[in-house]
Amino acid sequence: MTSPAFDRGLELVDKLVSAGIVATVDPRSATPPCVLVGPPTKRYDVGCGFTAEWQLIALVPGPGNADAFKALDALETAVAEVLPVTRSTLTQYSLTPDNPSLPAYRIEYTEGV
Amino acid sequence: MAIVESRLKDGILTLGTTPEDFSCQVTNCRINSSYDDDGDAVETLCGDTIPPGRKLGGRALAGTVIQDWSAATGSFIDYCWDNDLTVVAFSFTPATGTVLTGDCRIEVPSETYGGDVNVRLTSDFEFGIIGDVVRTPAAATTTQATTSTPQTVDA
Repeated sequence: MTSPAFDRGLELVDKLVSAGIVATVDPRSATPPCVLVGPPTKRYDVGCGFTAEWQLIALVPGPGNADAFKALDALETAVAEVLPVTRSTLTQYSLTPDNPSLPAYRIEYTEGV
Repeated sequence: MAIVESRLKDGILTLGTTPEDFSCQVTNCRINSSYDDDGDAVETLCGDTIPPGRKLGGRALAGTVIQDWSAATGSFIDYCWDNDLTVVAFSFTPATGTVLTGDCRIEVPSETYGGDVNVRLTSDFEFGIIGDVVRTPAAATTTQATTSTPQTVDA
């Protein structure tokens, strides 16, 4: 059984890591500041494969003060220099249910897979 | 009777005598046909009117592709520029089923090498078909030619 989105997710992680960004597809191994690459939304609107709408999560340690602002901005900017990002939205993200929410950017990026 | 709903998926589009496969760039592909009136309507003394006949105006291989000029090789956009106004063979398989083949004249799409910033860029293409379109149904052993030459049909 193939898993093209997961395989592509690993490629994105490699691309980000090559640019010096800490990235992973597994929240269990995420250590902020880092980028979490989760499953994309898929649209089957191309002849071969699908369009993947990625929502990468850029995370920094809390609390949400100026230090977090600076670190999050730097992390998001680094991602945008590697991938053709279309939108970054400020959000909060909790890696596990019993952990506090962390300052985060939801980074949107679309590509054909 | 069950509804038959055909979808354009898992198809193939190739161009050239040595076929180059552009299937993965195509988001829309079809065969367009146009017809024209052949002559004028004729009114007779009693007031009745004989409508004009109809003739085939032409067919075209048309569709939409994702612009791919950043590809190192195998770019559809580059292929159009390289073969502008050249007649090449095409093979279009909409899905697992009928295969349509023939010759078409390549024309560079009206919008190439750009568009809006940081979004998926697409180009609409339309290549006039020269001669017949040969339709080969799935699992068929014989082919069926559809003439593209002007033909009058009595109304």
